[in-house]
Parts: sequence; C-alpha cells; structure tokens
Amino acid sequence: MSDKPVVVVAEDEPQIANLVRYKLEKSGYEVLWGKDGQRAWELIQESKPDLVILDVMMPIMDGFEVLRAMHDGPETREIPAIMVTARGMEEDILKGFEEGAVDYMVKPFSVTELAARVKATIGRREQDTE
Amino acid sequence: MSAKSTTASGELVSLQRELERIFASLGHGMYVVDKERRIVLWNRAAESILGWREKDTLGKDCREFIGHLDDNGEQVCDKTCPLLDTIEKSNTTYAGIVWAHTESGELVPVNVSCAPLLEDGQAVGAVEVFSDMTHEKEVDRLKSTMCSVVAHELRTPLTSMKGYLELVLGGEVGDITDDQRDFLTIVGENAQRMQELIDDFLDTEKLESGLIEMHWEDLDVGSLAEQSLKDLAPAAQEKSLSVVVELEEVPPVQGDRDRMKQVLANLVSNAIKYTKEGEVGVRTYVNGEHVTVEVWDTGVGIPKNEIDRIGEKFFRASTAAKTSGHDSGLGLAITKEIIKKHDGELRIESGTGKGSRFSILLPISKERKVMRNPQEGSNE
Repeated sequence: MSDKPVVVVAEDEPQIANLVRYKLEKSGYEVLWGKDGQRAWELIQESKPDLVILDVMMPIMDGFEVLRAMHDGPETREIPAIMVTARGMEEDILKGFEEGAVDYMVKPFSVTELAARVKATIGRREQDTE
Repeated sequence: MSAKSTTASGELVSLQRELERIFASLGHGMYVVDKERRIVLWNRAAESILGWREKDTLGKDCREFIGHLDDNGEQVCDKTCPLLDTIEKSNTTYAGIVWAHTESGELVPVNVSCAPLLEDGQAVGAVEVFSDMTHEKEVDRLKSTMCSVVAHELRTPLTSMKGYLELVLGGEVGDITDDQRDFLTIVGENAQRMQELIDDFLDTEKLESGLIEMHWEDLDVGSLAEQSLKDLAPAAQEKSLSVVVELEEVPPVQGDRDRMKQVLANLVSNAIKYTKEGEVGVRTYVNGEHVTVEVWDTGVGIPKNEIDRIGEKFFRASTAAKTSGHDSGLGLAITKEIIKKHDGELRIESGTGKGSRFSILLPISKERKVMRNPQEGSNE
C-alpha cells in the first residue's frame, strides 16, 4: 500500500472517470474507480478511502444511496463525500448535505477546481483529526 | 290559425332534432344530470372517451361509475363535485383536470367544466362538458423527460470535452504549439457556447413550469449592477466603449442574488454585444415605491414596432440579428420571467440606431418575504 491519500471516484461515464483519475493521480492521489454505485460502495468498504467523489445519477445504486450506505456504516460515516450533479438538480443536493456530503460540483465542472476542492477537503479533515 | 300552429310545432320538432344531432355530434364529451346527479343525457363523445354506452348510463348516479378523482387519487364527488357546486350556486364551474373511470376500469384525465340547467331561475340539473386530456398529459410528461435527458445527456459529453481541453490547455499532458493552443481555445469557446445555450434552455423550462426556487434576501442592486459591469469590462474595452456608472444610493430590494446577477449580466452583455461605438452604462435611482436599475447603450437599438416582442422566447430584434450571428433569443425571455418573479417590471426604450435603455423596476423591500435563517431571527 502506498501512503498516498486514496480517493474513490463513483462515476458511470468512463471518459469522465478517466479525466478525474488523470488529474487526481497527477495531484498525488491514489484513485479507485467504481463504474456504478454498487461497485463504488464495495471499494469504499474495502479501502476506507480519504474521500469519495459521487456522481448523483448512476446505475444500480445512485449517489444518494451510496451516501446513505456510507452514513449508516460506522466505519464509513466519517469519510467526506463530494457530490457531482447536473445543473438544474442543485436543490436535490440539499438532501445530500443532510446525509453527510461536504461539497458538491455541477456538471460540466472544471477538473482543476475539483482537484482543488479534493485537496481542501482532505486537508481540512487531516487538521481535524490531528 | 291552426295551419300556423302546426308549422310552429313542426319547427319545434325539427329544432329538437337539430339539437339532438348537435348534442350527439359534439367532439367534447357531454352529459346532463338532474339534481340527484342521475344521468339524463349522454352523448357519443362521452361514450367514446369513457367507454360507457348511453343505455347503461341513463338514470344512474354519475358517482357510481365515473367517480372523478383528483391528481392524488382521491374522490372529489363527496367533497368538491363540480356538478353539485354548479347546481347549488347556479353558476358555471370550471373544475380543471380530473381523472375519470372508464368502462374498462382505467383512469383517463379529463378537463371538466359544468353549467347549471335553470328553470325559472332555479337549477334543476347540470350539464358537464369534458375533453380527453390523455394526449396533453403525455406531451407534458415527454417535455419534462426531454428536459432531464437534455440536462444529463448533453452535459455529460460537455463535461468530457471541457475537462480534457482543460488538461491539454493547462499543459498537463505536455507542451503544445501556439497554433494548437489557439485552435483548442476556439473548441473550448464553442463548448462554452453550447453550455450556455443548454443552461438558457433549461432555465426557460424551469421558469415556465414554476419549478425554480427563489432564495429571497435583501439585495443592493446598485452594487450588483456595478459588479456585472466590472465583470464584463474586458469585453467593453476590446471594443473601446466608454463605461458609465451612475449609482444613486438606493434602499434594498427583496431578491434572489444569483438570479438578479443573471438578469444584470444578461442586460450588460447585450448592451456591449450590440454596441459598436459609444457608451454602455448602468444607473440606479429611486422612483416612488420602486428602485430602478437602468442598463443603457448607444448601440444598434430595437425597431419601435419590435419592442413589444422583446422577451418572447427565441425572438431576436432584426437589428440584433444583423449585428451578431449567434444568440438563442432566450436571454431576455429569462430576464423578463425572473423580473416578474420579483414582482418587478422591465421597461424598454429604444429605436433603430438610437441605442437601448432597459429599466428594471423593483419594489422597495417593506417586509421580508420569508423567514431568514433562525439564528439571525433570534438575534433580533
């Protein structure tokens, strides 16, 4: 195991997942990709990542369902999640915050901004746990 | 004398036949009930919409077989029956869309209105006219499905396009030549244009369907106007336009910050886009019970006979269409709708070649429309 921070990316579009993976790996993270909500949930349970990026609309389990599962699990409850949604669905995000999401981004998003938010969120968490 | 009355009764008979034919051939479903809501007449269109045949319905209580339901599936017959309402109040009732049971056990959406049948000023029954709304409901459903498909399916490829461009232009996958950078920048600008078009389209749909949520707060529109001018200053500089700001101190207005910014950004960017030389400006002042924000320019203007159509979806003034090739014609429609949601008004003064002046009138805040956050409330 490397000592890089681990990020699980839950995204059903391979091209977008690759985009995020490329940027985050360059920024010094280990990235695990879940191609649907269920695969992502498995990865979260196995790897206990430092952060999860959750697309809202995904097959099998959607982003909210994954978030709820994380919220219900004692070992996954504290893992921060950034939600990614299509514009026009921002109101739905409010319910995401209730389930423990810490941030959200609207598609089409800037990967540079996403990487900056990932860094800020993980940094904040490390400060809190110190 | 007798010959005359024979003719008169003959005319009556033919008139009655005529009415029966009309009743039968109406495209709208129609039935008549007595005061106890028992069916007295039932036309052919009612039969084809609901499936019940005339002979099976006559004399029956309409509640027993049609039984209108509201959108939540609750019976309206015992609470707000439009027929009963009509009979009791002796006036016409428009009930809107309800669901009716068909003979085959299905539910169809019908648009219902009722009128009383009066005899010596007393209601002795009522007539219900209804039309089948299945098609309209289906169109409605398709429209909202289409919107969410547009939102998701167009944004996903755009996210990919813009994201990979960002990586390449950001030099994260190696060096690129100046020409490559210029060309990819053009690709990026066009992806941006597509995104704006999709955003405008979805905003229009949301505003029209009332699905948009407003977050009310006290706004200083003067500073918002100044900010939008600052944000767009580079575009004005590029065309060597003078920028004029005349801000009178104005009281706050109730508004949604993001939406008001959207309105001002749209008006200012139009002012710049459609002005070749001269000035663009913003001005704020108090006008009776209103705060007025003006955005004006010395641009191509709008022909007087087209001013009324500004704000119509997809409409572009002929002067604008000649000046700039691309614009969806949705920006001002959205602007107008947002101002309407603020209980405000958009006034336009313009003429061909005379520049334009867009004035937004917004009511001065008297009281807060909604509760602010609880902490703030408890401090007061």
